[in-house]
Amino acid sequence: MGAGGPPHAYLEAITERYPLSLHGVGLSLGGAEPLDPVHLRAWRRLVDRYQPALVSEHIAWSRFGECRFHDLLPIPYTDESLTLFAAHVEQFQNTIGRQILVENPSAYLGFATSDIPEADFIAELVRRTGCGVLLDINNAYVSAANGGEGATALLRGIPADTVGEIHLAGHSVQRADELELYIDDHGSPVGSAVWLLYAEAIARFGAKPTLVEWDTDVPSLGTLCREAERANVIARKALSHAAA
Amino acid sequence: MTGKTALHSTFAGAGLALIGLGYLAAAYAAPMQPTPEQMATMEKCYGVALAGQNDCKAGPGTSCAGTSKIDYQSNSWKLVPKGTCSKITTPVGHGSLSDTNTHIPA
Amino acid sequence: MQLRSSQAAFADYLSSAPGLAVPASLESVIGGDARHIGSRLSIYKNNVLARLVDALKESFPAVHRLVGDEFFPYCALRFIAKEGLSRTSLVEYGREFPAFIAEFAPASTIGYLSDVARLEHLYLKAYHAAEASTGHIGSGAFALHPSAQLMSSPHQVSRIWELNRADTEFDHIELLPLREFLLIVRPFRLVEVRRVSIGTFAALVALDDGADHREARREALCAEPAIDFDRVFGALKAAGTFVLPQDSTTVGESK
Repeated sequence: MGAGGPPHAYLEAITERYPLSLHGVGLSLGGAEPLDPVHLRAWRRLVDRYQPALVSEHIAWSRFGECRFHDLLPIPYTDESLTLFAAHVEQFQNTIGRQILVENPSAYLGFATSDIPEADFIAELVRRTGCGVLLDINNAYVSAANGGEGATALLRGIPADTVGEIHLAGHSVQRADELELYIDDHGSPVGSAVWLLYAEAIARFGAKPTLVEWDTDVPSLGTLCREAERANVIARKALSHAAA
Repeated sequence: MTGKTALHSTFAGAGLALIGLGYLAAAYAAPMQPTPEQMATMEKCYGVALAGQNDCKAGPGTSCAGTSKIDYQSNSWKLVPKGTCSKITTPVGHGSLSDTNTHIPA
Repeated sequence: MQLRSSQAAFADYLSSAPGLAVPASLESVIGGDARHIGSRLSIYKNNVLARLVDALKESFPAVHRLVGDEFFPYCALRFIAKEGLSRTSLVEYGREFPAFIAEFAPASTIGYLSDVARLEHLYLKAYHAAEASTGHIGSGAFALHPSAQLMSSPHQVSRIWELNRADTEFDHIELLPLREFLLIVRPFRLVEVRRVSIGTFAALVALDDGADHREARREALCAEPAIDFDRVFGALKAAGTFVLPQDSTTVGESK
C-alpha cells in the first residue's frame, strides 16, 4: 500500500460497511532474518487506522538480505524454524497489539530436514503464541498433491477452535519432466475436491468467514457471486449435517 | 478527509479544455467552447475522468498466486515491437520497427 | 543456523540467471526424488520473475500496448537481468524502467516510448502519494499538492498515453512536432494529467523547487512573456494543484 490515494479511499469506504480482514503477503515471518521494521510500522499504521476484524499473514518467507522476492517461499518444519517463526509472530502481534492468523502454505517441494508434521507445527505455533489459523483449503490440497502429507491430515490435526478464516481458490496442473505439479494459481474455479474438503472443514471448525481467492483471469461479478453462493450452500449443508 | 483543504475543480466534466498556446489548440478538437480561464491554463487529458478504466490499471498489487510458466525463450534479436506503435506516425517517420527493418543489433 | 544457510542458498538460486543448475548446497536440503528437484524449484523461480514482469505490465500498460505481448516480456526480462531482483515494493520496482527503455537498442526507433513509460511511472506515483494536508505547509504559505509530478517531453507523449492506456481502438494517427509540458496531480480521488503551457510549467517547476509566488511569476514570464499569470495561477488553484492553509483566500494574489 502506498501512503494515500484511491486504495485507502476504498478501504475507508469498505470499513464503513463491512468488517475488514487484512491479509499480508510480504512480512516474511518465516525468514531467518529479523523482520523489517519499516514493514512492521506500516502494518501498525494500517491496523490503527482501519481497525480490522482479522489480520493474517503466511507461513512462508519472502525476503533475504536486500532482496524481496514477492513470492511465498517454503520453510522446513523443524524446531529451529518453529522457534524463529513463533518469535516473529509474537513480535508482529505485539507491534499491532492484537492476534493474527497464520495461513498454511501451498508447497511445490518439501525439505529433507523437515521432521515435524505440518499440522503439529501449526498447532504448536498456536499454543506458543496464541495466534489463530487461516486455513487455506486449496493450499492444503495443492501441497498434498505435490507430495505433502495429505490435506485431511492437516484438517484433522489443526486444533478445532483455532481457525478464524478459510480461503478457497482454484489451481492448475502443470507437467514438467514427468512430474505433475499442482499450481495454486488463483485463476480458475474452485475444484471439486476442494469443495469436498470445505464441507469437511466447516463440519469440524464451524462456519467461518470464507474468501474465494481470484488474482488472475478474474471472471465477471456474476460468476464470483455464484461461487460465493455455492460456498454458502455447502457450509449450510455441512452445518446441518453436523448438527443432526 | 480531515486536515485537507478541498478545492473543487472547475474543470470536472468539462471535457477537453484548451491550452493557451495557439499552436496546441490547433492540434485538438474541442467538444465545447472553453472559458477564458481554461484557455489561459491547461488542458486535461481526455479520458482521464473515466475513473474505472484508469483505476483498475493503477499499478501492481500483491498476490499470493502462483504462476505455472514463464517464457525465457522470448529473447530473440528478431523480436520487434508489434503493438499499437505501428499505428502511430511521428514527425521523423514511423514509430515502430517492422520485420524488414535490418538495423536491429544482434 | 541451518535455516539461514538454506535460505541463503535458496535466495542465491532465485537471483541467478535462468537455466543454471541447482547448487548442491540447496539440492541437499530438498526432499523427494532427486530428479525432480530442479522442476520443483523452477516453479518458485518462475513465480519470482513472472511477478516482476507482470508488475511492470501493470505499471506500464500503455508501453505494453504500444509494443505488444511478445516484445514487452522480452524487454522486461532484459530490464530485470540488468536491474536485479526487487529491493522495494513492486510499484517502485519500475522506477528505472523508463531510463532502461531509452537505452534499449531494439526499442530505439520508437523515440517516444521511454517518455510514455516516464509518464506512466509518474501517474503511479501520483496515484499512491500521500493525501494533502495543511501539515505540509507553514502558515501563510502554500505548496504544490504532494501528489504533483512534472515532466516535459519533445513528443506528444500524453496524446500517445491517452490512446494506449485503455483498450480502446484507434485509427492511424500522425503526431505533430510539439513539445509537451505536463502536470500530473491527484487533487481529489482521480489522477489527472494536464497539458500546460511552457510558462505555466516554468512556474510549477520553480514552485516545486521551493520558490515563492513572486519568483514563480518571474519564471513564468521569462519562459512565456505573453502569459496572464494571475489567471493561470487562479486556474491552477481551482484545479487543486496546491495545498493551501484553511484561511488562504489571499494567498498567491498578485501584489
